[in-house]
Parts: sequence; C-alpha cells; structure tokens
Amino acid sequence: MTRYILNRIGQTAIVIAIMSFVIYGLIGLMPGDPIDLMIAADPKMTSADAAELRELYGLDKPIYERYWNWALAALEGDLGYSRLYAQPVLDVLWPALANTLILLGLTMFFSIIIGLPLGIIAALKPYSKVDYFVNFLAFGGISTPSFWLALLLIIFFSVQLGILPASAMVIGNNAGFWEHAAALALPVMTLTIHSIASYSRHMRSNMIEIMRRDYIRTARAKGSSEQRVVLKHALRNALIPVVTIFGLDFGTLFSGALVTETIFAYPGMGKLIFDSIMGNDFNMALIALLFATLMTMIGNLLADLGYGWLDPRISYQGNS
Amino acid sequence: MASSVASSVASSVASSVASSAATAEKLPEKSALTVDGLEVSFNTDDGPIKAIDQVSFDLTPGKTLALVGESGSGKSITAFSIMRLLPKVARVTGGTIHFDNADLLTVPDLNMRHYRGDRIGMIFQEPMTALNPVYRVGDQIAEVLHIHFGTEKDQALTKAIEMLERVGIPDAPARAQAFPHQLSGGMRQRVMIAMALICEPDILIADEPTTALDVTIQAQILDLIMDMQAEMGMAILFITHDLAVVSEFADEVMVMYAGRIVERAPTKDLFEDPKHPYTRGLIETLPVSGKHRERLPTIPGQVPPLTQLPDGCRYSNRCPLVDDECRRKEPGLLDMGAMGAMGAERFAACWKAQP
Amino acid sequence: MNEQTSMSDSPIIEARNLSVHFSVPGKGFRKHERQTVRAVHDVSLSLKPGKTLALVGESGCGKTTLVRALSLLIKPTAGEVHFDGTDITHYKHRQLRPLRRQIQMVFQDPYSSLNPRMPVGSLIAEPLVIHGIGNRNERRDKVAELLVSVGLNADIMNRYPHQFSGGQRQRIAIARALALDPNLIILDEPVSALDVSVQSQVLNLLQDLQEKLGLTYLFIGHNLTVIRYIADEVAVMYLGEVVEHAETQELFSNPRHPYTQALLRAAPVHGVGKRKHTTQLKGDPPSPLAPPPGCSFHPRCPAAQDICATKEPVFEDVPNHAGHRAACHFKDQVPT
Repeated sequence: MTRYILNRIGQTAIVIAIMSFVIYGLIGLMPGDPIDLMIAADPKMTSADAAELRELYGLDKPIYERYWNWALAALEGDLGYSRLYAQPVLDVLWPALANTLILLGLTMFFSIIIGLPLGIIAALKPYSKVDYFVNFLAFGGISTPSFWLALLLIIFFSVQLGILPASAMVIGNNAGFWEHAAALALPVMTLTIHSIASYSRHMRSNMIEIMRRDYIRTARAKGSSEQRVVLKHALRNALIPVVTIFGLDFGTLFSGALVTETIFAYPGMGKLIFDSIMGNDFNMALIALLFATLMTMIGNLLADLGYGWLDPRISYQGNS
Repeated sequence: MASSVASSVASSVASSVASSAATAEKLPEKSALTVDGLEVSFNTDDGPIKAIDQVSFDLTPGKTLALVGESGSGKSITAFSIMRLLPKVARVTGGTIHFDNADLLTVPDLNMRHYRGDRIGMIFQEPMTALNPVYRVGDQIAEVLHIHFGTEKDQALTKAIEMLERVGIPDAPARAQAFPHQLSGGMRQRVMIAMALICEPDILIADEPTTALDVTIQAQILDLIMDMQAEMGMAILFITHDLAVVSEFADEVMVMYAGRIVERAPTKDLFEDPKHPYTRGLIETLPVSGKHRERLPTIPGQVPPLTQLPDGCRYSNRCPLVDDECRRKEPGLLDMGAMGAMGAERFAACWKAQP
Repeated sequence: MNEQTSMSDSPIIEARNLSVHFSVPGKGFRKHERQTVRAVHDVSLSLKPGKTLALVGESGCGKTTLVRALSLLIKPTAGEVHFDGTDITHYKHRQLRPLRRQIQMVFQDPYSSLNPRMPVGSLIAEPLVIHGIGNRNERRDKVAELLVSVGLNADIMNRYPHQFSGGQRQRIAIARALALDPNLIILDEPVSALDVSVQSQVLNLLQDLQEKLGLTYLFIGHNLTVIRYIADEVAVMYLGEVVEHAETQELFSNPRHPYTQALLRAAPVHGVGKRKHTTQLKGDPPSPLAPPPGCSFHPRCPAAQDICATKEPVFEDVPNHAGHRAACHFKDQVPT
C-alpha cells in the first residue's frame, strides 16, 4: 500500500512538472505582458523605457530560458512574487486556498447529506411519483449553468428578499460568524444544487442496480428487515462507485468554482486565478493553476484510496 | 413501540428455545410444511399469466423432496413462493402454505421475516453472487443470529466459526475473516449452507446448489447436506434439473412441466417405472453408460411458452400417447394408488397413465 | 473431403510436450519477482481424424488454455503443435490464416456466443465473408444449406438470436462452425448450458454431422455420462497436465489414476439409489501458481506414498494396456 501511494506521489510530481511547462508556455503565449499594462497606465513611457523594464524583469529572454530560471527558483522554494498583489505568491495563495477549501467542504458536505438520501429514496420506489420528482429536480440542477443559477439566486435572495449578501468580500476581514455564514450561503447554494443533482442521480442508478443483486435476496432470505437490507447490505455496495465521483468532483469543483467565486467576489482560488490571468500576473496565475492541478490529483488519489478501502476486492498490494 | 416490544419478547423466547435446543439430547421436533394448490401469476403487458398452477406437496422432517424441471417449469418460483421472496412482478394468486399452524401466504411481513433464516433456510445456485462482497463471511453468518436472537457480535461470531467447522471448512477462525472473493466455489457454498443452517431450521430449500460447482465439489456438498440433515432432522426441498443427482439424493421426486406438477413418486419408483410420458422422456433421453454412440431418444418440440399453452393437457403437443381426450381435458394429479416399498403415494397427471 | 486423410492414421492435430506458462507479477512488495502460472504443462496428445477426443477436468485445470494453444490463439511457451503432419508452432499470422479455416469452435453459452445485433444469416455467413468466399448469393445459398443441415428452417435467416431458444441457438452456432467446411471442430462444453431434453437433440445432431462430414471433434466437458457416450478417447486434466488418457471404454472400466477414479466416484449416476460419495478427495485444487512438488495431485490423493511427494511421475503407458497412458507411480495397480 505504501508503495502504491509513493508511486502515485511520484506520478503526481511528474504531472505537475509537465503541467508547469505547459501552463508557463500557454501564459507566455498570451498577448501582452505586465509591461504592456504599465504602458497603458503610463502613456508617457517610451519604448526605450519599456525595453529597459523588460530587460530588468527578464521578459526579453526566450521562453524556455525563462521557464528554466523559474523552475530552478521554484525547486528551491522561491515561488516568486505577485505583481498584482505586491506580495510573495504564497502569502496570497494560502488564504485563497483556505477559503476555497471551506467553500468546497461545505458544498460537498451538503451535497452528500442531501443528495445521497434523495437518490436512495428515489431508487427504492422507481418510477413512482417520488422518483419522478427527484429526477426532475436532478435534471434541473444538472442542466442549469452555474453562473445563471448564481445570478438567479442573487436576484432572489439579495435583491428581492434582501436577506443574503451578493458579495462575499467580508470573508477574512474580521467579520463575525454570522456574517461569514451569510456570505457563504449563496455561493454554497449555487455549487450545491448542481452537486446534489449529480450525486442523487448516481446514487439512484447504483442503488437500483444493487437491489437487483443476488446477495440482496440472500439478505432477505436470512430474515433481514427491509431497513437492514437497504442500509447495511445495499448501501455500502452502492457507495463504492459514488466515492470515485467524490474524488473526481473534488478537482472539478476546484476549478468550476472559478465562475461562482468570481460572480460572488468570493476570495478563493478561482477568483485568484481569474484575477491574476486578467491582470497578467504571470507568477500568480502559474502557481495558482499548478495548485489547482495538484488539488485535482490529490482528489483522484483520495478517490482511488477510498474505493480500495470500501471494496475489499480491490487490493493495491497485488494479492488475490 | 409495539413492534420493538414484540420483537424483544420474541427474541428472548427464541433465544431460550435455541439454547435449550442446543443442549437437548434428542433432536427437537421439526414442523412439516404443506403446500396446497399454489398458484402464482406474473403481471405482463398482455395481462396476468399463471406461472405455476395447482402445485401441492408436503415437506416432511428428515426427508428430501426433489423438485425437477427444465427452464420455465416453475420450480424456482415455487421455492421462492414459500419464502415469499418473489420478484415484484409476481403475485401469489391462490393456494395456501401450511406451516406451524399458520398460512405462510397470509401472515404479516414481520412474522415472515422471523421465519426466514430461522425456521426456513434457503441456499442458492451461485454462491459467488449470493454472498455480499464487502463483508467478511464470518460476519455474514453471524448476522443471522443477530437478526433473530439479538446475539452480541462476539458471541455470534464464535458461533459462526463453530458452524463453519461443522460444515467442514478447515482453519475456520481464519476463514471467517475472509471475503467471499477470497474463497473457492465449494467453500462459498459451504458458507451459504452454514448461514442457512445456523439456526437449525425446520425446512431447508436448496435451489440448484451444486449446478455451478465442479463434479468432485458437488459430491462433497451433497454429502455435507445429507450429513446436516441427519444431524438436524430438517425437511429438504431440493430443486434441480439433474436427474442423476436426484436419484442419489432424494427420497421423493416431483416433476414439473410448464408450471404444473406432472408426477410425484418415491425416487426408486419414479426411475424404475415412470408413469408420466414427460418423465419417461426425460429419463430415456439421458445418455446412459454403456450405450455408446447409439442415437439418443429425444423429446420432440419444445416447452410451449406460458402464453401459448395448448388446451387440455400441457404436454399434449409433444406426447407420444396423445389422443383427443388429452387435447380436450387437462388432467389433474391422478392417484396412481399406494405403491412402492413404503406404501408411499404416487401421482401422475396423465389420462393414459396406468397405476 | 480428402479421402487420404480420413483413411490414414496420421493425426489431424497433435500437441508435443506443449506448455503454456504465464508470467504474473509477484505479490505485494515483491512485484518485481515474477511468478509463473503453469496453465498447461508438458502435454502430449493427438486427435485422430474422424474421432472424438474428450478433455475432462475441473475448473482451472487448463483445458481452455490447452485448446487455445492447440488452435494457436495463444503462443505456447514450449513444445510443438503439429497440424496434419506439419509443425505449425512458429507459423506467422499469414501462414496460419488458411489453417484457421480448418479449425472451428463452438462455445458453451449459446446466449453470449452469438452477437445479438446480427441476424442469424449474417452470423453464419460471417466466416465466409472474412475469408472472402463466394459472392452474396452464393453465401446466402450456403447459409440456407447449413441451416437445414443442423435441423433448422432456412427462412429463419433474417431473425435475431434472442428470438430462439438455447438449443436452437446452439444449432446456429454449429451451423456457423460448419460454414468453412472445417476438418476439426472444438466444442467447449456445448451442451452444458442446455436443458436435458435439448441436450440429447444437440448430441444427436453432432453425431450425425460427424458421420456425414467426417469431422473430428475435440470435446470439452464435465458431465461424465455425456462424455462416456460421445467420446472415442478421453484425456483427463489436472492442474495443467494430462494425468490419464485412454479409449473411453477402457478409461471408464479401468481407471488407473486416482484423480480419474475420484471423478468417476463423484459423478452422480441414476439407478444407484440414495448414497454418499465418500470421495475421500478433500479440499480444493491447489493454485497453479504453486503446484505441489513431485506429483501435483499428491496432497489430495487417497493413495499417496512418500515417493509421490518427491518424484514427478512420468506420463506413459500402463503395463499391458497399450494406448492407455497415466501419470502415476502406481498406475500398474488395478483399481479396487
């Protein structure tokens, strides 16, 4: 098992390295650089000044040389400086990461405690009214684009009802617990609705499949109550594929939250990535994107480990 | 709430009965089961179709009754009806199942759950898929005790290990920690048997338990079931399509065809002198040792689909003895008179059968 | 049909010291130490033209692997495969192609061996299409001819497999196997999944076809009564090796290997009445990853002696019974 984890960590490191090159290249290919922004801000700058500045920042060198310098520095722990925020990259990154993790944590928590039971209930009475209702909700949730949903929620809760703030900028600014909760409410709701839809559909189809299996019949033949059959015998088996989805979602939510965070001005990784790309802050964008990649890979790893933990037929040791 | 009070009363009564049973010198009295006129229908797009009809038989403690038939004969449905484990599209539309002073078809669900696993045990055909893949086999067996007697986890596991030893699994304490996929087919079937018999039921229903097993393992399992029956004294309903196994294992045989019982007789009598043309056809169609390469007699045609049963006798479209009476009137199970060494009864559903 | 081949005694297909070993990664931390699975080990047998050889054994004995190696669907690790006198072990794909027409297979499960999305006519014609034989009309005529020869109506060509019963599907599979006029048909448990009353129909059909077309059959089965009925010779396999090989009558009346004896004792026969089997064959077959030393059967053998644990028995003739071979140190002892 340890060997498996080490293996995966090694794979992750390789992927991160490759991604760093790819992202660096892509960002480098974008038209414009920070000097352009400076020119735009200060029209009095001459092209000679611009050339001098470029040389100062090393922006006149070819891209692979710039990448190499960056990589060497990064491996030593120097991840660079954020032009946009005028702080070392990591100082900006950690709070944003923490905020996103809170957002994701709450989203996944609510998605699980609402989505899974809904799926189970729908599965126990397939094609009944309850089932159609849950399916309808699910399709609705999956089909709705998140930004549109976000705006709708803002219109409803912030504008019309006025009970929840449209902006989450209070986060981290010494606001109280309830202010934080209120600020989180709408972003969490936006992300959760989509997740609930997805989890309930998966859970439903897994449960329907599992309830048809022979060992369910055996459980009944042993005299189990229907409750025991569903909660003990069926549930654990139905959860196995869902765990995979959790893990994958972890990474997806990370980057998908980008749109939601931006709309709500929520100071998380998504907004950070967005702002730093729009602001041509190469360093910040690069590091933030790499972290997003890292989070996705960790999510995958956790999904695989969870799968192996739940399903005794899977062994990472090669035993049969 | 009432149900939890009832169940705790039931479990304390049951556990005292169970413990006294375990220490008794004699075998505890087992109840017989009588099926009378059982009828099961399926809901299809074209309306309800009778899958089994007029099925009647007795299960006597200590005796094995084999239920033989080919695909679509209704044998598995009959077995599942006794346990009330029919799929949702099937309904019992007639008959009674008399057991322990009650009609199993009308008792409340709660009572039926008490019977299942405790008074009536069942083992299935595919041991791999019949065991839950995510739980250890020892725990799966122990669960039966927990369900019926509220036995504590550790104690239940100890008894489960004892049962595993009783069914011939070597190194039982270690094996109890295994998951189903880590065991061979024969071992899994032994686990199933342990699970079905741990409460020493009155009735054991075995639905093709050896069909999926290799020949030498099949022999081991059949021997094991016979030994368990000698120890516990339960009645066995053994469902199979393999006539050879029947002849070595059952006391009495029932042959089903297209949803009905067409013959019932003590094993020896059935093989020596089959009364129903279908039974005769089945026996003759078997390759018999010694007759190398001669053409095998066959039964022409196929089993008619349940939606297109012929009028009159169901076997009429394939029967060599058919005549007009057969095509008009469906024969019931006719008494062939008391025959056989023990004066046991014989029945055949055929106008042409001679007692 | 080549009259010469059917008259001569030279075998259609022959295995000489054939072995198929698979290399699998080791367990846990020893992943780099690969272990060997001896799926088939040192098997020598031959099929005489026009005859039926039955391969008998329990799950994991290697019969399916052996059959695949014989038809060169798997490359053998050691030994030779000879077809019609020629060593084809190292033939390339192009050289094998014409030979593949002569070896066809029928499988156990009639429900999964026919593509549910293809009409029956296309299923049977597919081998002809693959080998570029005949034009459309000729193929259709051939399909009709084949359907009739297996006892089905030619006009079912446009129907789909799910519309037929197990027995009928097996007939369709047999028709497909006959499409290329093969010499050898490998039948992997062809009647095991069928109802009893249908088994005899299919067995009769197989016999008729063998007589009419001079086919050779390699028949894999586990039902000893069926085997005894249909086979001319029987080879018993255990843990990848052939442990006994004899003509049918001889094997059943005079089995010399304890495993064969156990199989025969275990098989249910009707007419004996209620009985226990007292097989004395305990436990399960060992894993092919770790075959026991010496005779691979010795841990389960009721008659094992010291020599059995150390010295591997040779697969050779039983004294005074030519043509009957067994791999046992005590094969000269008459069974009790």
